[in-house]
Amino acid sequence: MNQVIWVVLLPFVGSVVCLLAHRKAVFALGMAASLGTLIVSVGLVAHVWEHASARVELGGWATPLGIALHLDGLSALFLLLTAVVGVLVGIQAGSYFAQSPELRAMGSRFWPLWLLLWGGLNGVYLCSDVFNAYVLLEISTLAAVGLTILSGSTASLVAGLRYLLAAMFGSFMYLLGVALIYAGTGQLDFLLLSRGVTPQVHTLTAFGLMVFGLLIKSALLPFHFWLPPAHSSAPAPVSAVLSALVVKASFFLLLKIWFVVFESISGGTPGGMPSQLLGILGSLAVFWGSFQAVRQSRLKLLIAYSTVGQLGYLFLIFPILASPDFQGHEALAWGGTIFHLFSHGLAKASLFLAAGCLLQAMGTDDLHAMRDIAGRLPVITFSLGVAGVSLMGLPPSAGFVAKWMLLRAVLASGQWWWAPVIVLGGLLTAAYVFKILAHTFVPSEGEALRLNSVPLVMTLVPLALAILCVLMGFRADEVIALLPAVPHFGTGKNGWEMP
Amino acid sequence: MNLILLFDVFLIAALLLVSWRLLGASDLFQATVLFISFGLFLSLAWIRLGAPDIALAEAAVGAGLAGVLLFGTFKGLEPGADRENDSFTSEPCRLDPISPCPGKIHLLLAFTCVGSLTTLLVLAVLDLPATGDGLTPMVSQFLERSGVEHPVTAVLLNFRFYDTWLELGVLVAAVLGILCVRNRFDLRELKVLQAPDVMLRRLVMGLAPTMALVVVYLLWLGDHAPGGAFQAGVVLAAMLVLLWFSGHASITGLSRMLWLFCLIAGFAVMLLVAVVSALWPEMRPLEFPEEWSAMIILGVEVVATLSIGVALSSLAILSLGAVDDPGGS
Repeated sequence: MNQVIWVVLLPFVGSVVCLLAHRKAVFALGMAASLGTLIVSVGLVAHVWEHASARVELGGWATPLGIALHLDGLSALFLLLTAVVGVLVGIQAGSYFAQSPELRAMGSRFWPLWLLLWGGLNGVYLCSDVFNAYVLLEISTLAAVGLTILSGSTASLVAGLRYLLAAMFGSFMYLLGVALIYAGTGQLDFLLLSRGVTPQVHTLTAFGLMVFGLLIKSALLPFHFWLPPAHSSAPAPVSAVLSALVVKASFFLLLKIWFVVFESISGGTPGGMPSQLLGILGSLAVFWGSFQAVRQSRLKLLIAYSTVGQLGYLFLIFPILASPDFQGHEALAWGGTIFHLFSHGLAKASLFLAAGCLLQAMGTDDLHAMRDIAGRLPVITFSLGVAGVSLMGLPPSAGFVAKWMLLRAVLASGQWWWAPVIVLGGLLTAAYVFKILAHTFVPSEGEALRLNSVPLVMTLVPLALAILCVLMGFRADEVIALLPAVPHFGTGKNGWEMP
Repeated sequence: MNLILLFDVFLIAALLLVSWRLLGASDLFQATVLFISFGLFLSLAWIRLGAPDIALAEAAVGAGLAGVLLFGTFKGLEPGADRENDSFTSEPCRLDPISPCPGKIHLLLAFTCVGSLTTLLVLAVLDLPATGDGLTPMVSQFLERSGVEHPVTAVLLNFRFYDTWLELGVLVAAVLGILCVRNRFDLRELKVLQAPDVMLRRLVMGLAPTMALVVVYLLWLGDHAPGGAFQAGVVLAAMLVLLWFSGHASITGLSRMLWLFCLIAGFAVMLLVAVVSALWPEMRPLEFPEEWSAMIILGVEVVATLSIGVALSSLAILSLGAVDDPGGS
């Protein structure tokens, strides 16, 4: 199973080559690395489909001493999402950064940082070591901050600095937890830790610190303050990557820390209260993020606040799985969460890329300026609509399948009070999606806004992402079938056994 | 023994006092000086804790390079010829003139948070098992198969090669990020704000060869004693920054390509090791044959030292450097 490492190696090789290459060759080289990574990622998904999980001990050193990579259903799906979004964003970036000399200069900076980020994200999905996870989070964070400030505008610099400080604080909290847990158990590997951790003051503190750090990085409600300015002030391809992928990587790590490393704490009675707390914060995030999104008058900021809201749904998995009378329904909760993550990733990437097209066409992303856009830019408006339908959770989109599964999981767990969150959240989402669409249909009064031309590729990529999002809804069974390795990973029954 | 205890008590008292004064300092210059002395006391504390590797890194990065960056930032903020208003000195509590000064509520909130975190950490540390060696026995057991004699180097460059490789990636990402902030592609034409002094030039000229010697010594030391690529790299960075500050040729004289090569050499060489080992049929990823490990580790360390030195000095120069014509940056 040595080819696992290639999903980390290929983006890094691409990054180094793009850094040294001539400005004109950067796009071709970057795309080559992206496509290679996509192929390897698909291969890994196929491998998980056939043989369940895989484990590679790096350097040939057995785990307590060395570092291991762990591939299971969850990592495979994250790898796939990252690769699909990554390749499509890459295609978009190719034409986005080709339009003017300044943008071309920006593009030559974009590719090395983006591929470095991609390698870091893939590393996070495969990692099985708490300290290694810290280093990977650092490399992803620094690359993501670099991408945020790519345009060099004052707004993006301020947002980037805030992002950097918040993310660094989160990393620092996480690292404190790692230090405590290592001092207490002498282990760093996920699996070995999950066997060695017992509820004591120092392990509980470590657990709290690590979760706290990751919550800041995943922008859960009170810690979401850095997200909207950072995601809205970056160039469109970067915003798509940040919202669709980067915040999800720390959520992925949170899942592993919560359900694997500290299973003995989060799974037992001490886990009940914190799980409910995460559920409450998630619900508040759904309401607050969506409410703020409805209030925005700038398109990119609206989409960024929508990310805050949509991320909230992910945190419902903690109270659902903590419920004692939930035996046999884990697959629903995992399926719903992963499906939501996937559909949000694709829809949000599509929305941000479409917003980038609009911004370029109109020169502003003020919603009130978007008059009569539907007739003049039909493809972009259509992408906005289709991606919006999936965000709202209307059939036949992937968002519908996700919310349906989550709703059933909530009811099966006997915690009916989360159900209104899912339903009302969908209504609020509908409110801001219709707010966007309504503006595009308003006929222009007097002189029409002069629109700049947008390259065809740039309008087709968001459409492709939105359509993928809908197709995934039609093909729900196949995607759920890929999950069998996932539901059990929390219970330690499957996928986390030593080979 | 009592003398050592006395020294420890003095060290702890000094750390607390300096950090307290640092937080309370209303003058940024004073705070910077206190921060540097805090770093030096901290590195002494690391020595007392038996971690000379960390002490070296703390002294060099925490007190040295961070100090340079803070002083440089202070110079940039200071009301000078180009800034007529002296709002900076009249309201020292803030750097951003738009945002308000923190009120009593903020301070209270901050103290409550820091206080509860400290209490929690103290409780957690008291709860730690007294006899925890971690993986130290295991590292010494496998030390002879690692190719080096110093356990820290063995962990960094063999057992946890992956982590160290990624750390070099972090440095590259940081430099690329700062390039975006400065909107630049290389370091050429970045000058010191003030014209260098003749005495300083001569002094640095004499100092540089000694520093180069220290770099090589620290690098060689890493094989069997505290030292190695990170420590040597930081000294190299200090040398490069000093040379630049005193107006000598430094990395700003390199062409873009050459500078980039030096910057990513460490990351790229470790990537090469990873790629070759991943392609090699009988090897695990990142594994290298035992008989070659000493050579590979030495090679990687030499290149990593160069990259760390260039990356850290680039960070300092990019942050502090100015361009001659105002419209050029």
